[in-house]
Amino acid sequence: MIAYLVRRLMWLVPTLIGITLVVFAVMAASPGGISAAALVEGQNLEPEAKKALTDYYNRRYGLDQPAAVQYLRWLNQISPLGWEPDANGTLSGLPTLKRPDLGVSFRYGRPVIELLAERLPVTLLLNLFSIPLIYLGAIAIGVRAAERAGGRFDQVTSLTLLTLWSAPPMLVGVLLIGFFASSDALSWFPTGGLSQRQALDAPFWPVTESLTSWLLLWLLPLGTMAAAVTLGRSGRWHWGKCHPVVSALLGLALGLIAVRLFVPVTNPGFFADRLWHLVLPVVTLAYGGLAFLAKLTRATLLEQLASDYARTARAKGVPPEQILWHHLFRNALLPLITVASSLLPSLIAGSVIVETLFSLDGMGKLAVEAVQARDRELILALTLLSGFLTLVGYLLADLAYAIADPRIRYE
Amino acid sequence: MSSHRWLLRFAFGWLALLATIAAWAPLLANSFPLLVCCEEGCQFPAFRLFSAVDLLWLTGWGVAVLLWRVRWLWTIRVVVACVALLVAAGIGSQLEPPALVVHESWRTHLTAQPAQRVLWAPIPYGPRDYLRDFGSTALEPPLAAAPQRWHWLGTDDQGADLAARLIHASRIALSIGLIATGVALAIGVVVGATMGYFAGWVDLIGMRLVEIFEAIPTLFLLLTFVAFFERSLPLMMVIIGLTSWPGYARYTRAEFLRLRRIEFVQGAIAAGLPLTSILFRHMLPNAVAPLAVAAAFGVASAILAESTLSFLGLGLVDEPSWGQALNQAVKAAAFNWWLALFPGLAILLTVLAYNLLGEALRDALDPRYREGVGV
Amino acid sequence: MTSILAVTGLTIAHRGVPLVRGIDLTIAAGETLALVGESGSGKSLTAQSLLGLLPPAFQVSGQAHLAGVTGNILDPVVAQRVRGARLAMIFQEPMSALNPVLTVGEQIAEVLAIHAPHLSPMGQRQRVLQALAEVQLDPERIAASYPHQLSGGQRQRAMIAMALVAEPLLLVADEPTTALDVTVQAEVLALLRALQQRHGMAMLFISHDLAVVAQIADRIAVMQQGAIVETGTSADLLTAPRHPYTQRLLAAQPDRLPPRLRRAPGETLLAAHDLRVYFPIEKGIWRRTVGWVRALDGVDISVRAGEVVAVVGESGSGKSTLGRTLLGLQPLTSGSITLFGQEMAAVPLRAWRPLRRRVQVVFQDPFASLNPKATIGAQIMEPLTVHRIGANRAEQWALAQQAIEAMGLPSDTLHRYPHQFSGGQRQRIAIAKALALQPELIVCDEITSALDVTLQAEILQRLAALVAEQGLALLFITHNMAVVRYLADRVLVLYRGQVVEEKTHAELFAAPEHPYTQRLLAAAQLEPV
Repeated sequence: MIAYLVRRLMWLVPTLIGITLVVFAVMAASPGGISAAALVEGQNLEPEAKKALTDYYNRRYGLDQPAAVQYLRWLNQISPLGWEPDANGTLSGLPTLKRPDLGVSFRYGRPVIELLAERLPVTLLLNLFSIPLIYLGAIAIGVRAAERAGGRFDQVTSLTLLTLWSAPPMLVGVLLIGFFASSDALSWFPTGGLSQRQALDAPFWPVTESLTSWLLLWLLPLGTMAAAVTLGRSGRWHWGKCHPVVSALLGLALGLIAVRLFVPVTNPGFFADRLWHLVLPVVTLAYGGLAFLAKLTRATLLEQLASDYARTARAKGVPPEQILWHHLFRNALLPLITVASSLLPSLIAGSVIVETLFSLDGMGKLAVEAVQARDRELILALTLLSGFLTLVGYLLADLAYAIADPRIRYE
Repeated sequence: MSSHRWLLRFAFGWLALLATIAAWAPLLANSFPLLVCCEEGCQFPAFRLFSAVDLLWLTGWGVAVLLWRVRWLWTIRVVVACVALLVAAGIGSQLEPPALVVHESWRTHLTAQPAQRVLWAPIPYGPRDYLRDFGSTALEPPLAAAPQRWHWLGTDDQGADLAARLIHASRIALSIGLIATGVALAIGVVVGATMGYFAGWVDLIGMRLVEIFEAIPTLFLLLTFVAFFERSLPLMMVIIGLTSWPGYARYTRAEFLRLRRIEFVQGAIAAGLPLTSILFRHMLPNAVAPLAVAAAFGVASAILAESTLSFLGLGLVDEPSWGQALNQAVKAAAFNWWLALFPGLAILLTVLAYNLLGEALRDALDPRYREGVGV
Repeated sequence: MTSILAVTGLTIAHRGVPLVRGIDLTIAAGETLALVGESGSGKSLTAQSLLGLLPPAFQVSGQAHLAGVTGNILDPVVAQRVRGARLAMIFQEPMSALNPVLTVGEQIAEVLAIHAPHLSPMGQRQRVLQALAEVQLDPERIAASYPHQLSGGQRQRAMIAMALVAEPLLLVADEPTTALDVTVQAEVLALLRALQQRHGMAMLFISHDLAVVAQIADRIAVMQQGAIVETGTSADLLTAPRHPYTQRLLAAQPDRLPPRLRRAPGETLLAAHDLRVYFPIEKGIWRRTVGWVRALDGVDISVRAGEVVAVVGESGSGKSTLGRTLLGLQPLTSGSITLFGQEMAAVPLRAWRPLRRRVQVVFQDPFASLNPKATIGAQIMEPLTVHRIGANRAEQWALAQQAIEAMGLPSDTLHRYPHQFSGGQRQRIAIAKALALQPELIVCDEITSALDVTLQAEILQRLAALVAEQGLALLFITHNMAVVRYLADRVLVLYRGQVVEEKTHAELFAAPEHPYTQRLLAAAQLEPV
């Protein structure tokens, strides 16, 4: 297993180079290519000013050199081992260890690394909230649908999931904003942004007037969670038994809604405000992945239900609940992990739309702006970063798979 | 399950409806009347605007309808279809639609001089008819201007009738979906089959290539392509196809690797059959199943990709597109629900239809496929 | 004698179609009852229904009573109590029957956790190790291993341990040895017998193989198309069967077939000398070749016209590799192959083309031997066209039709697709396809291993007739010694890539020299000639 992982790590760098090469080739192959003339064209300047700007761009960013040279210079620039350019921009001497430099953005005039440092956390925040939501939701729905395959729950969720999966994120996001965040309809959530202006100065946790309110604030969600779990385990309500994790989460959600509605709070605080702003964007980002994964969970679980080892477990007299979670689910997890690797790229792509819709300053939005401005440095840096994240995602998924599947662990 | 059949019928029905709307678009939504008769005689103004593309769409539709019902051999059907399309292309090249269209012309003309018989298209507005003769018509909700003007789905931010735009946009949605997937399939199958059949170092290099293209966030590559190259329809089709081929390559490769070892292929080699026969008669027909499923889903995602690009403002500039209309729903401060709902619904239903097709294909091909090869 | 299991009127239907009609069975304490039948007889369904393992699409009715249990064990509620505790089952494919992500020890301990909850974890572990030792496995190591780390025989023993650890009254064994090598099979059968005696357990043994059943059963019940046609003690049934079906089954056993006509062999068609096929083992980050798997390690073989050469071996012996190498489908590492007088070892694949007509191959798996997307007619006629046999299409069609009818298939076969035929019919089609080219040599790679015994007998007899009449030569790869005795002129015994013994059939069965051959023959338990 170690050998396998090391081999994969070794391929990381060449693949990254390949990715950036492809993107660079696209830019270079376009009409106008990556030249200062293309950047200067749109602007309304006198010829001398244009020429001066062109010269400046050329000297600063090396845009007058052939595409291949530009790419190689960029590679040199970003690698920790390479040549340091001197004042005129020429390279000489032997390669040394140096600081990787992602360059300066044309559009913003700021170092790319600063821009990334600002924008990346937002995208990561969105994705980090989405991924657990997707997995937990998908497993809950998928397992339930597979357990009672052909039943009403299964039929209803089947169609709903397919429809959700087919719904374009733009539509869903716009509808969510329109219904839940606009002044015409329900105004439960904000229309965009990451925080309100006041929240940035506010304390982190919510501030309440009295002690009772403060206690209620914390105990109410815990109470609803506990109630939900006990109700779920007893199975004494309409929908039968419910897995403790699922009922806990549902209880938590109910509790939070109750808190919002009933507990008087003077200042919601930074944390709550941030969460409140994140609800709609995360839902818009996650619903597609959830639908897809739920269907996959159902399909995989049905396959496992028909397998030979499930029959053996039944023959051993193992109760159905235990067969489901101890045997089937552990095997069904394997293809789910494999799919996780393709989930990350789609989330990164989804971020583009969500960030644009909800005016969140994240990497996705930055990508659109960079592309519209034909900003070479920024585009390459973003490609590098998202390519890197994607490959890391693949690697992590491979690692998780190798750990989960003993056939690979001991090969 | 009967619900499955229902859904499949819906999928086919919707796609057939969409294809019909796309083919008949210029006659369904046009600012020029279809028929005007006065004392001198009759004219067909709408047909004056026909271009080669319109003729090809109509011919294609007609050919498809005809050949669907007729029980001829597949090869004959294909030949007839090609001949018909070539003839249509030939006639179409003779057509010269006017470069500049003044959309108000017939409306003002007929108000001034009413004719005996006028037959308007069901939606008497073209997709680029910004209704300048009616003053400010931008962003009107559906039926807001009735009974003066009937905008069943409202107008967009330029004042054009939304229904007309959506109808004409269906052409782009359909054609991009199919052609982009076709391009991706062509590249993917060739690369995948080569990798799967020859294995060895060909496979090694090919897989690295596939991995690189897979690891590039598709949207980024699309954005880059679209921003740097000019935005034309054929180019967009090719570009979307170029970003989605790795999946097909993987499937084809997996199938070919599996089939190489399977007994009937080994038997074919042992019987001395020529390589072309082994590839095209033995391996390829048996590798098609997962590809067909993937292609159905691929068309759906191609349509989504185009809508996303249009939504981000990076789609086709002049042509109407479903995603573009969605873009306008968000721009203004108020929530223009009709600009979100109707285009969104169109995209949703079309993507849903293709996804349903994909699922049905998967269910149909899998068990029998498995049964056939004894897995 | 108390009966452990009494079944009356067991009927199983699938969506209204009856598959098992009114079965009555009794099994006494300590007795082994064998349920014998060919594919489609319903024996496996019967076994699974006793434990309630059939999916809901099957409707099961009837009565089944287990000693010490009140109620009908066909009732799901009762079945849930009884499964694993009083009634245990082992299955045919040990690899897929064990959960791949749990260790063997965990899976065995699970049985105890459910049926012996009073045991502490320490106590459970003791019992698990005990059970593994009883089935002659190394307890500590096996308990900590995952299924994929064990061999087929080890997995089946682990399954047996898992079934017995809760001390059931009755063990249902559904073809437990069918997927195992012959030598391993003998060991597992001996193990089952020993365990049965030690625990005083009854056993219901399902099989299609009368030879296996003869070794282990006290009583035998023969099933045909969902009904039991004859029941009797082992001795009675095997020597004097009464029902015609049983008689047919017995007569179809390869060692009871009338001896075939043998003829003097002609010229040498195929000769291979010092064949070596090595596969590299690559390990480590750089995938360096650290060693070689020696699939074939210096094999000499020759086949003459009119002769049947049998290659015998178990899994891992290299017999399939040998077949593929001799056909040019597998490149060899070193050695020479002379086919029809031409040296073939170093030539490219293309050069084989002119010889292809004269040597054909039939494989083991009938479901993978035919192209699912082409009609039978197209598949048979294509090689005829390529090798220019038959002056025109009509003549080729006639030849194909002839070949099909010679194998006893319906006359409209050529128009249909493979999925419309059963496994046995597909194998017949595959053989017809090979014969249509009128080859001089056919390589048969375990062609009857997946078939019912009656079909096997038919095919063996047809092939024997062709060998006698037309001087057809066969390279017959198999692991079944009874078939070898019937069919072969010369026998090569392959073990780990090397030929350990090569003799004429008479010599081999009379006086085998190599210990491995002796083990094979002992395991086959053939009646002395």
